[in-house]
Amino acid sequence: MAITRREFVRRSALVGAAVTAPHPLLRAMLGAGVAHAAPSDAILVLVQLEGGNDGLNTVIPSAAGLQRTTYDTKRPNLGVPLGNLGATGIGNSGGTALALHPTMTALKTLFDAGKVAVVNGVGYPNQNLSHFRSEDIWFGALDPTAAPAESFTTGWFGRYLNAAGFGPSTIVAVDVNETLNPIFIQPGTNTLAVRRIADFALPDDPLYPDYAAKKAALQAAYAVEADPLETDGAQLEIGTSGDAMLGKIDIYANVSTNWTSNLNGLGGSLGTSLKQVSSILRYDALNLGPATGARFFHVRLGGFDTHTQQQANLTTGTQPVRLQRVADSLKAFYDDMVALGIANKVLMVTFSEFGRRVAENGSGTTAGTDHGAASPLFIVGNTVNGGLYGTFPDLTDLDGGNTKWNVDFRQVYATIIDKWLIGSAGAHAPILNDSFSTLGFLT
Amino acid sequence: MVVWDAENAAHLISRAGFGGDERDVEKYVRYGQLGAVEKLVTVKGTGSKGPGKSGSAATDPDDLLKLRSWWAKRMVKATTRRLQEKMCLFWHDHFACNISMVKNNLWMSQQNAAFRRYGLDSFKTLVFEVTRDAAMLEFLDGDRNKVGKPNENYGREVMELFVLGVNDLSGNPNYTQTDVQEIARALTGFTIVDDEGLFDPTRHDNGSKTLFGVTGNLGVVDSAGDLLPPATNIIDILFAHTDTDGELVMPRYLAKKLWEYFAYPNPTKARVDELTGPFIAGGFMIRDLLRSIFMHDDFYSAEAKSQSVKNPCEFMFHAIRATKASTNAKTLPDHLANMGMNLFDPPSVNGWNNGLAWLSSGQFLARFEFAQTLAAGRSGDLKMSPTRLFDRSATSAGPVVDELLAKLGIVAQVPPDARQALVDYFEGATNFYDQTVVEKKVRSAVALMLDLPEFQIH
Repeated sequence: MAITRREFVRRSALVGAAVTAPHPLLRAMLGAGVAHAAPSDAILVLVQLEGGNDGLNTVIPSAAGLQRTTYDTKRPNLGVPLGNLGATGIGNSGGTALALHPTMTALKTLFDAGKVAVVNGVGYPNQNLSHFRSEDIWFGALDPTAAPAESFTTGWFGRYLNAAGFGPSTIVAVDVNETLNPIFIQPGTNTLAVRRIADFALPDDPLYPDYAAKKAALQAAYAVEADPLETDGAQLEIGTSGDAMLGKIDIYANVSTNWTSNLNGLGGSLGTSLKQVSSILRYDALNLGPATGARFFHVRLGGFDTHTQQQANLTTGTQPVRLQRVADSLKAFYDDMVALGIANKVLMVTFSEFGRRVAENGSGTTAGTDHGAASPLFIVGNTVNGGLYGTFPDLTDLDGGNTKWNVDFRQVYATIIDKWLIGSAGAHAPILNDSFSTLGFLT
Repeated sequence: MVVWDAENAAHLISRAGFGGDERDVEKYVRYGQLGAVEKLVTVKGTGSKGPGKSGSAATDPDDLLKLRSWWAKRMVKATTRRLQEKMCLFWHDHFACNISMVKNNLWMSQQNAAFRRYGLDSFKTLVFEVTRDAAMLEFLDGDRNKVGKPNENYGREVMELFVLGVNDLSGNPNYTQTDVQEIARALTGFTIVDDEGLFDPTRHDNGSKTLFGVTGNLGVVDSAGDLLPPATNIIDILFAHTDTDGELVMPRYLAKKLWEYFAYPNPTKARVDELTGPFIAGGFMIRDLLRSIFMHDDFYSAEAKSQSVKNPCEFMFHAIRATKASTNAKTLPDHLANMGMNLFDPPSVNGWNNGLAWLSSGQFLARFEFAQTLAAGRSGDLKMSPTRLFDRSATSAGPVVDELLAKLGIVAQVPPDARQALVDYFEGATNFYDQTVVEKKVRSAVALMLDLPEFQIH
């Protein structure tokens, strides 16, 4: 996709004249072996694990020692036994051997191929353990230390779209959900929210079957509503997004989900959601019609708020089933991207509002975990510098029973903005309202 | 006092209910402002309870649809009880539990009946009823919160979402994690027996707890199940909590939330404080707060009008009422679900995201779909008669379009050029001498009008 003049101007203004992105080829020569996507081609898929994923049963101490002993003591029912972690080891962090939950073998395969970065100990200061406050902070990239507390107003990705010059009539982001995630909220930008591509259509009129005339009338009316000389306030806002949406309907009508994807047959909503993303990317990559132009996506999987009955046994129960779906779906999506020849352009990032309490609650199979703090996340992609980042939190040095963070979540955003979306050091500062050191999972 | 005219009366019944047709508006003009508000906030009787079976039948999906239709029907047909049903919807959003996790139709039905019964009365009673409500005990693990094994889930949300809010109006935290742990212990002991929430003293933590400076064997009820005195009752202690301005946290929190639901977002602190006086003086009666809102001049200001996105219930029921359609309500729940408001199944304890969030593309298109279905409706599910909506002697499209827009309450808002697009559409291939064609075209035009931005807001 060509960079638009407007985007170029905005981007230049954003990063200043002295800093320019190195040509992707040059960067490939200088950096790690595989060619990056150019920022104007970069595709990003944000994968939200909703409810607060229990990071300590996702990335688990896997060799005898102080951390493992502490883990066993605090989690007599929920702990994954050492003997079940032999096949999913991912190396050492801070002297602690670590393994993925045994249901995540698909992600382990990708990790061994160097396509997965595991960032340990991600969090932020002043964690108050509220889902909604924590989501506001993650969605808005708020400063958790601001006093008085900073309220959510715009989403960090919406601010990126704005900074990159994607206006309300340029729809480059799709939330595969019924509702638009606050990450995308930013006046002057526009993101589609559709759960199924097939549902993205105007209804037919059974009584007066003049679909074309009716659609034309609706488009004509909405063109007026989208004109700031004609409307303002909520009217204008709805008119503008509706006008852009009506313009995209005919394009998306060409996108088929009926093809041989690696995601076919995977259970659960995450697989189905990623299939929508995969289908849109395939349609554009294979030039199957007028391009959708969509490059940024958000998908979610709910049910991680495991206060009770977190894990019936190692393969069933609320969290193990979901972790397996995450691992299987990310791997299948990655395989789709390879098959389509666009794997170098695609980055996947998981996140969750917080981890969970180190000590389990309840007893037996009813045991669960209450809200916690720092947690790991995964970055998956062909050009990712695979390995471990951050430090596995010390389970003997807790804050109110919760793990301490050592990577600010905004460092992850900063890395993605600087090294993937915009391609220049420091570009994140105006978007995140502060400067952060970036991480090495991208070059 | 504002000038009590059709515009203000229509605004009131749109926000405090689900809108109406022109006769409904005329009626509320005649009541006068005070009379209209009193009619809304004064509802006698205990209210009704919807269907819902006990035991293994409690998960029957057909029964769940019956429950959803039952409530949708009450909302779409509500007259004197319109605010009661609106508040039922508000409390369902505020104390949000969902059937996906509760998995019991009867319990959801009971909770809905409690919102209807207590929703305009004492907020203390409402919080108590919610605390021992079977659906809530299941949804936020109150049933699993017992001595020695505290579960923080309900304790956290009762402070964060139900009564106090995370921060006060100055942005300072209202409570700490220690407070969450202490209130969780104080809330131990509730359990579900025979579909009812009961207090089991053997599961209660009788140790000493401290909440907001009050120490003792804090709880909610005594071993006989009667409310504890205010000195040790955590509901009273929550209600007495003050903020960094020395003001009561709860009335400010609830007044702000209700103002934002009914009027507009981000009211000033001064505005919030103008609302709470009678509510505090009268011992926290919810209707006192609502009366303060609906009698406030600013509720009728430009900032409060035509800037708030109707939620799917408001959109749907206003569309049905304004077009004088009839419905058995059987298909309404599915349409509401497609628009993002699956009754009895809000996405989380935080309820639904209101405002522009309702108009994400997929849900926006679901509104178009409903508009089409309503306008074409000729069965018991939805039946709309075009002849009731326009002057059949009309010989050109303009007056018909204007009449229809007026019926929908948006004739003053639609820009002239957008109106012209509707007129052009109407005139295309329409023969005004052929009434059958005109009636079909009226149906199509109504569907288009319900799709416009102006009908999405109120």
